[in-house]
Amino acid sequence: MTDLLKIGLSALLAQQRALGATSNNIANANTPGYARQRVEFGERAAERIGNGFVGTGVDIVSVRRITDDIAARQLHTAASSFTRSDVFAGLAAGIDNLLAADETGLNITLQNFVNAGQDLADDPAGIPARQVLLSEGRNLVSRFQMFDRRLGEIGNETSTRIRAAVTEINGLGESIATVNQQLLASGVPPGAQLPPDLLDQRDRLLGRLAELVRVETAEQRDGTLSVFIGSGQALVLGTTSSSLMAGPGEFNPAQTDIAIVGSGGAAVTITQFLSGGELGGLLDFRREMLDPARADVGRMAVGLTETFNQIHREGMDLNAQLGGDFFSLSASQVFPSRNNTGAATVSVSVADIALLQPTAYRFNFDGAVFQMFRADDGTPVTLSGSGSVADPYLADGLSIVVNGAAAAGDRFLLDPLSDAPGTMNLLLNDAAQVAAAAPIRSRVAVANVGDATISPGEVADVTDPNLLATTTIAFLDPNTYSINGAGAFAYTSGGDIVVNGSRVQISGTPVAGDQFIIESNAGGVGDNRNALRLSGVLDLGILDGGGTNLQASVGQLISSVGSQTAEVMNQRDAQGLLLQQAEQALDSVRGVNLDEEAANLLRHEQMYQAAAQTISVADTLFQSLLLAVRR
Amino acid sequence: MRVSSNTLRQVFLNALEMAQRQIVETQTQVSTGLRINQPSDDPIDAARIRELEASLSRLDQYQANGVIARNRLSLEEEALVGVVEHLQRVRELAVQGNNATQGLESRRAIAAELGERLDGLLSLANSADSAGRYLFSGFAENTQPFARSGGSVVYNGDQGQRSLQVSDGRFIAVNDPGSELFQRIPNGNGTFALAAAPANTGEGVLGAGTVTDPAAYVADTYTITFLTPANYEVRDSGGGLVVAATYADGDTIGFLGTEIQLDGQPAAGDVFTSTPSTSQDVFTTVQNLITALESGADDTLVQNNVGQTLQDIDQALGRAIEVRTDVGGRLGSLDGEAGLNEGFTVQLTETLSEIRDLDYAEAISRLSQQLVGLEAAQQTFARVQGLSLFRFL
Repeated sequence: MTDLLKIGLSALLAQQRALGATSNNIANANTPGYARQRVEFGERAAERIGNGFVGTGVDIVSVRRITDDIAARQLHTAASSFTRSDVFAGLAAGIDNLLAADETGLNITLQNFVNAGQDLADDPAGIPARQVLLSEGRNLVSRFQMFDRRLGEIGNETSTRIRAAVTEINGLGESIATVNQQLLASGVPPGAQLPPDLLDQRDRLLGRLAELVRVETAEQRDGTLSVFIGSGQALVLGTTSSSLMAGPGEFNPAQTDIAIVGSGGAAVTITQFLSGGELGGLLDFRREMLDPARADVGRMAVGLTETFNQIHREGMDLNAQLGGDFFSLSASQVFPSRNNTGAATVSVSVADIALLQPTAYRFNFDGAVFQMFRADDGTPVTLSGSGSVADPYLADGLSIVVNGAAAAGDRFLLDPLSDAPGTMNLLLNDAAQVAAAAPIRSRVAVANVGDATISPGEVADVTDPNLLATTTIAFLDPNTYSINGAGAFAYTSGGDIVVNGSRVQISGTPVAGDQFIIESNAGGVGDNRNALRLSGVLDLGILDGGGTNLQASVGQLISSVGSQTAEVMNQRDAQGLLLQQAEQALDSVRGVNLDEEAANLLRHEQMYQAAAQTISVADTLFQSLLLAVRR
Repeated sequence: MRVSSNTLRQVFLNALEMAQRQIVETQTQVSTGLRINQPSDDPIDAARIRELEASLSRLDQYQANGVIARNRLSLEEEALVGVVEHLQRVRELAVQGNNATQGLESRRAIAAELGERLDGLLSLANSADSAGRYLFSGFAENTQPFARSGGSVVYNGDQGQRSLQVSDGRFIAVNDPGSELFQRIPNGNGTFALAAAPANTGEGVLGAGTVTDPAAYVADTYTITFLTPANYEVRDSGGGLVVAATYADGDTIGFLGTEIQLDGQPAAGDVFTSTPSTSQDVFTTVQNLITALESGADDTLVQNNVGQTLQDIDQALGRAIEVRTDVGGRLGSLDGEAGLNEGFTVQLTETLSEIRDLDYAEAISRLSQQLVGLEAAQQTFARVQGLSLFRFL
């Protein structure tokens, strides 16, 4: 009898617990990271009766937290990969949109600028066309500056987000360490069921951490979880956590670097080892897309400035002065490492536009020689020269001068291009100073008898001090000429004659006494020869060894940014699907199915009713017995 | 596989989200009318669009340059037509004045009209466009090219010639310097010029000189002296005898690859000279004509002077016609280039539209298909979510 009651009671209690677990599952059906729990029954030890055994009821063996560690780990990996692409794609879309906007298009701004040069060629003597060229020049400068500003803003946003991610990672590390601490404090012996709410919480923290950066985890025997970051640095080790530090970069203070501070207090830079998650996405974006885009725009700005200035200097303005520089720009950014111990200073300048590459460079001193590597892909670059002012190092179109003594291990970052567009300016204010004319002109003496003609003349060397002096080429006989009364040079029809920095060709048959004059083009306000050269600047293959003109270079930037963005967007979509699958895989084990819980509810309710019935039967039996003995 | 309630909902939500994203994309395309809204939509074509737009802008610029070149050349052509008219009239007047029946009075009247023509030529040579830029002063557009100075006309411009770009690699010159048009014109027949000495007493009138053998001609001043009316000798500048021959009325005098026509009977001691051609500006030529007609010298000398000046006028006229023809040719080239540019523009615009613009029919049908998908997803979601065992408890 008591046995019957005891058995019924055990069943009642067990089903109550089961109903409780089911209700808890239903209650937490939408709780993120919740792993469903199942009550597991076990029969009580049987009693020996005679030569048989009879059961004594049911016990709750455990409340099992149902999850799958491998699926959870896969989910974390998928989350790291997806967030990385998602963040990268979001930022890439910023640059993509920048290039998409019509009003910011570099192609059309460049074209408008050279069109203004053509308008100038149409009416070089007029002031209005000159003013239009200046204002189009200003537009072009502000377009380059705008690019610099917007890319700079994107860079700042990246840095801000890196710092925010680092702060959150530190918080998560601490929380995981705290959970580890609580797990230890719960006093559960090793190998036993750990408190499920703490495990759920730790899973949630880990899930969020994986969204921020890729981590490796290892569960210890005592149930604590250690988390490793970068190339194996411990973020959480048992109950202690290290902190990450986002600070000014080793070279460029604006380029945030990430270091990990261990228990010893020494900071180790781990920027280059971090991957995956938001942090990985931000760092990858900066390295793979933002920096190259800035260097590329910088290279265009440098190419345009140097080439246009060169042509402009070879012209003459309305005041009969040689043209000055049209644009100004500085392409000389060098960052020494803050760990340098030597006294060397390095300066860099552009030597040959055609050889420039859209990248920054590492410039390291190994104690004996300097070595140079591309910053984007690490390719070594061969240096020629000795680094002195007279004989600078030359590499990839850059001229590098080292002053002072470097110590072994000293490192520099040469980044001449990235900031160049931001430093670009229009130097000319006065429309009359636009050098539309060539500085020299030629003429045939009126009295000439022969039919020889002279070419209009071009500048061979604008620095020649006698460029604007009048030069007379007089023929002594049909095959010999003198220059300014001196010498006797053999004449070849159509051959180059270079004198006082000018180059002319005389062709035809001159007669003794014929004279040809090269003189300053002062007053030649209607001359548009230099304006035509200026407006042809976009047709010149000035980049990539002379194979790429500026328009094509802009096109390359657009298509490379576009395809990078498209690629990372595709990656994001693919990894989004993988993430969904990983979520579903884990959820299929861990998630609550309400229909299943409804069925369980019914099952346990029925069991409870049946158990209650057992007690009722026991009661009836007992009552029968009492009735039987009643007097 | 076991499916959790959350998964069930999430899967539907993902499907809805995807459908909505596609609809937004299509909607953006439809509302902008563009197939490519970001470089990432089609990286290669996005770059091409920008380059095509730049090319179109460049073609527009060429067309604008072409219009300016046309205006400049039309102005020049107009001026040249005037120059040719004046020179033809000058030539007529010279022929008229050369007639032996003319008296001094009528020659003076002719000279007066020539003076008017000279002023007309000078004014044409100083033509300017609407902005006051001189057409014939070379690069020195702000400098008046021709000015009178002590009885002659001097050129103050230079020999510059400006070209405008009218298509890729094609440049058209839009001016001709006055030095070439008016100033550097060889006198005589272009190789040598003839003159009769003012002191001649005979009636020999020089005709045209011709070069029959250019290789045999040596440039020098040759003096033809009649020793008797029937005998002459030709000596070079050094006094060396070139040829000595007999002469009868109407004979040609020939030496060193040249032939000189002489009419009438020269007297003994009459001298004629042949000098190598030099540059002579058109104003000097007309002025010489006026001087000859006003001189009141004897008829033979007037006829000699006027007759030889006629040759100079022909040279100037030839030059003016040559330049005018050249300008006409350049105007023709402009037409050709404008046509080509227009063709290119049409072609590029078509290509641009093909790459950039949206195929509306395709996009609309895509949109309605996507909408159907969205609706279906929404409906199944509502129905599946409505199914729950709890409803039956």
